[in-house]
Amino acid sequence: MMFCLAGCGNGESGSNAESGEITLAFSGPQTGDFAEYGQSMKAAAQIAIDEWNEKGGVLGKQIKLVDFDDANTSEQAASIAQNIVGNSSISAVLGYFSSGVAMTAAEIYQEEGIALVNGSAAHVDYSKIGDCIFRNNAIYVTEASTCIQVTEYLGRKKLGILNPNSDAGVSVTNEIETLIEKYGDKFSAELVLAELYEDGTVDFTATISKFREAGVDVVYSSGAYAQMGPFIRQYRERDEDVVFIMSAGCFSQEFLDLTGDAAEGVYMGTSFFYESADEKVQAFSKKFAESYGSNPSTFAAQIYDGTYAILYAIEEGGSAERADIVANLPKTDFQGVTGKITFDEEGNVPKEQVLLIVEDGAYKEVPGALLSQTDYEAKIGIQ
Amino acid sequence: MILEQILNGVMLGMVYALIAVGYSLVFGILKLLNMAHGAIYAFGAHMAFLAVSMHFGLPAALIFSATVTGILSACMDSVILAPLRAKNAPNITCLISVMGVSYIIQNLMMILFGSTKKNFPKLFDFGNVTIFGVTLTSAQIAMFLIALLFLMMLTLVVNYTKAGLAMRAVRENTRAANLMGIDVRRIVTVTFFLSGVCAAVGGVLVSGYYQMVYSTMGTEAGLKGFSAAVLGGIGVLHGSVIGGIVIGVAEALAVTYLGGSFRSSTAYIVLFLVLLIRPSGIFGRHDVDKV
Repeated sequence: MMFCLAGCGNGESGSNAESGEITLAFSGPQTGDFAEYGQSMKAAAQIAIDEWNEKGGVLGKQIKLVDFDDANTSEQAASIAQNIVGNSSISAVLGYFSSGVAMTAAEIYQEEGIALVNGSAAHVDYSKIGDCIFRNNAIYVTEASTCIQVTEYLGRKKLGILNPNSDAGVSVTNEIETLIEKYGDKFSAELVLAELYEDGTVDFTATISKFREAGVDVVYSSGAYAQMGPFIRQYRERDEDVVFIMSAGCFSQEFLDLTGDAAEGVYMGTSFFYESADEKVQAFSKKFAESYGSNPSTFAAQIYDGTYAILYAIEEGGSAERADIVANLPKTDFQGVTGKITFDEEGNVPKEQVLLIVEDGAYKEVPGALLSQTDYEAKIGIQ
Repeated sequence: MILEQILNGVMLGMVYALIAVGYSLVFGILKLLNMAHGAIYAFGAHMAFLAVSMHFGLPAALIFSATVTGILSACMDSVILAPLRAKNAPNITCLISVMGVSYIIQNLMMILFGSTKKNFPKLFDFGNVTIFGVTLTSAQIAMFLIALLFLMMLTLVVNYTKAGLAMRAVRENTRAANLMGIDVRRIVTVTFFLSGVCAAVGGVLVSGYYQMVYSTMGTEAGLKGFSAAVLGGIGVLHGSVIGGIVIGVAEALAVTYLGGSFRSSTAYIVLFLVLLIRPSGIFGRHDVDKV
């Protein structure tokens, strides 16, 4: 019912050398709870490709994007990966949303030697899968650092954490606990309660009662907007003082629509903000709004830069062969809309985050509130 | 804390009870598990969402949704189930057919309304009430009272009206009811219509309570509602309410003492335990099939 396997790829045969175009694949959720992320990422990849095609493509060939709907499930992601591997016209792959799903697919691409560039997985182990696996997204350590810094910035004392019971959620919670331990008395707040929720939970009243009982005054979550919307709403009805710190998963128009008035005052850390003064960001955001109808999310922007990284690797290396792209991606170095794009030895792009707050139903930047983790640790005197 | 958690559970239980009665109603008459009920409940919520986005206002949206959803449910019976029954198809054929219907409805909603969660207006907002140190929101209280009122009305219809009497007669013995001059065909249609209305009322109340609608909202809630119906004794309306509350409270306490990851599994463990002691459910009748 949710498959789009048929019809994608268009039965194209032969390698890139023979055909007149270069094909990249995108896989992401186009249906289900995470559809908004997948659809916006796909739109961003298409914008990047259109921009290249307008100026003549790459290596004199036009670029084509084929897309697949994995509904953010590992089962579908794996079967799509098999399908892509078997289609020799596809040079490299973009996408996959959640870490767990991306990691399932990444194993298959690594084995076959195809480059995968992701813009949303945060699990530390994702890029460790191998030399074919890249990402342009903040890893958990960055997310955890944001949680710690914002809690201090707001001067709150009792931290509660609510993360999804997934690879991703558990890792962020662990990372925050590690940082708190490392910082010792340099971190003045106390972690009073760390909770997990099942995917698909709608009623959070029992969890909220627990947080309130424990006297929590700031709640952090790396959850997706589909769960955080109802959670924040139900919490806000009972407690007007608590402060929420969210991650990039809540940086989208859908979050604002779903959460309504309760979204006012919610903070979140993100590596991309469409209102930045940067010219590239302005141009991309304008194009994105025209084609997609809303402002770009962090993940969309990161996939846009990821698409550029692949195309630069093809151009610099003078080849669209799978192995050549893998070999040339680590040499990537350009200024994208999500900062400077260079991959470290694991395949991660080091990310700096900005802090946003929801005010009058829109995102506003809180300048200077967030530092990179190294700068922050230097500031508070941790080696 | 414990009192607050129990009340949280009771409120959640009413959500399940609203869905459970729909299962009970149809099972009581036809001995059929209407697995499309969850999807029909989501359909009801989406019809109300449609009416609200056309500025109908909530009461009008509720009436619109109940009517359209009732008709959909009755149509499902007339178009798919009635021909199967006429051919004396085994119950399992009907079961698999309604499961098919549930996917068709769900996918149709996904195509028409998209698959993201959409904002639904709040039912009531008159601030919070604090009783014995427990904070209850107006949405919780309103949802509880309306659900209770609706379930009482439903019980009255089934127990004290002519149509209800006919429904119970059909439940006891279809053939005898037919011989007594009851139009069994019509009673079955009425039952499906009523179960559709239940689904719609439940859908609107729950959507207003959580302030959102989405195409897959019937999957998880449908399964929990079905469990509540079985726990209370399927076919018994007030059993659904108690079953729903038991599951809701079990979930709330599981979250309190074990954590959010134990929510659903604990609810089902409670279900097993109750069924071990009372296999037909808390209020279930132990029917003996005479040969």
